[in-house]
Amino acid sequence: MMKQSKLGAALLSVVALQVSPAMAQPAAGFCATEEQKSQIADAFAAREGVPTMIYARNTGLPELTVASGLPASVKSYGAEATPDRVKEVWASIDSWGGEASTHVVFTMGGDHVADFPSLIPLTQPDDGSGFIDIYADNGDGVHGHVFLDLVKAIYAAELPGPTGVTRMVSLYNEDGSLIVAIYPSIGAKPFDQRAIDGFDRTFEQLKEYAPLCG
Amino acid sequence: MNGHRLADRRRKWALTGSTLVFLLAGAACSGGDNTDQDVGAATEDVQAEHNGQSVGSPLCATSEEAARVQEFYAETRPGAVLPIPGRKLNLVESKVASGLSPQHAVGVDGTPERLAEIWRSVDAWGEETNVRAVVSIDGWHPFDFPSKTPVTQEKHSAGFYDVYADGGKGVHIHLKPEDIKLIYAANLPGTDGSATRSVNLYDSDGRLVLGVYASKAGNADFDAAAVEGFSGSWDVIASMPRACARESVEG
Repeated sequence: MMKQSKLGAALLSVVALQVSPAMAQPAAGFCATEEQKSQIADAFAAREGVPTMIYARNTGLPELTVASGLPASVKSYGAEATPDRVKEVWASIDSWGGEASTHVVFTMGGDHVADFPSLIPLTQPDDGSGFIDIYADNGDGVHGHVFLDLVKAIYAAELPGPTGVTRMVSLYNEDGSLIVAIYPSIGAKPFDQRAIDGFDRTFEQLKEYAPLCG
Repeated sequence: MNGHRLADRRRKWALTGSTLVFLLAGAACSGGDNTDQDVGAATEDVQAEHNGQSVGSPLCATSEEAARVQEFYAETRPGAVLPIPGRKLNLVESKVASGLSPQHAVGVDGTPERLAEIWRSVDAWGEETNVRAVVSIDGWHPFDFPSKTPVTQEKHSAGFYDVYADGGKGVHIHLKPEDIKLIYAANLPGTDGSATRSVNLYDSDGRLVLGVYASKAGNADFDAAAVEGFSGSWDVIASMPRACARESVEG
């Protein structure tokens, strides 16, 4: 059994009671329009194969809109999130392996970026709190807690660039901003082949759900 | 734009949150000694001489909110990490930090220059020193990473203040200086002589951008170099004009 995060454990009991599913808003409202797709295409052409938050910053669009409007040449797929789907997708990420290296990425309100190298954060036993708890390195690594009802969309994308391929699986909230992303590869940075292989499986699993945007 | 939506969402949650104070306040603990309290006492007068630009800001605790925060720490959960009273009292985290008593927290309005000066004091904790780097996306999705101290880089990405850990092999953090509106150091005594010590950056919505924790109350697994370094950061922040001053609470 992994160690418990005191911070997380204390937060869970409170947030679980505070959030109501009635607050849900459709993520499809963030699907890119044709005009926005053109903006995104321009941003991509100017800088191919970089993490999607850079296109969001350069276009002024929510990152979810960017993910939904990537050029057709980019392998990408997104679906509406439900608590069960988030758990299923993360179970797929678990299959990348607890010893596989990845990047855990945040944008903290959209203006800041943090890129944490990490082993794969693995799903912990469901305690019914409404969170998915994801811990890395047998509890010695990150302790993360994602409140499932607040995840509105899931996207995976593989963005080729001049120095390498950037791959991501991202969870978005109701305002189209990033909650957390797992990047198995970022451009020319070293990557773990196990994570790349796992990403392909997760991408295929995501495609089992109806597309978020038509 | 996103911040306005989140603020609306928080207002919707407010009613439910207020009831939680009573539901979840059962784990009351008695207060305890804190060997670091004299650090705060020594700097209180210095900061009290100044008022920062944030006085009256919606990011700052009102006198009533400050009283609730201080009661929480005195009676309910001494030493709790800052996001916890944020949830239990339904306050954005900057209001928790700014609502603490002066012996437990010192804060300053964020400017790019102050961010750089304060983070240089965090650099002094030592790049081999173990800390916890905490993010809490929108206040609802907390992630707590073990890390070496993220230190200032010689060159920064355009428009950012860059701090990397472990010689570049650890976390890479790119901070947007213009969006760092408050910076607080908090030293919160637990019940056993330990303390939760952290330096925290807050954005224009009062949300946590990043917290660097040197220690957590009740947890003996911390790096003494981080605790020593934290005292230096406290002194740097305490020497700056004080943010969010409240005459009615702190006299």
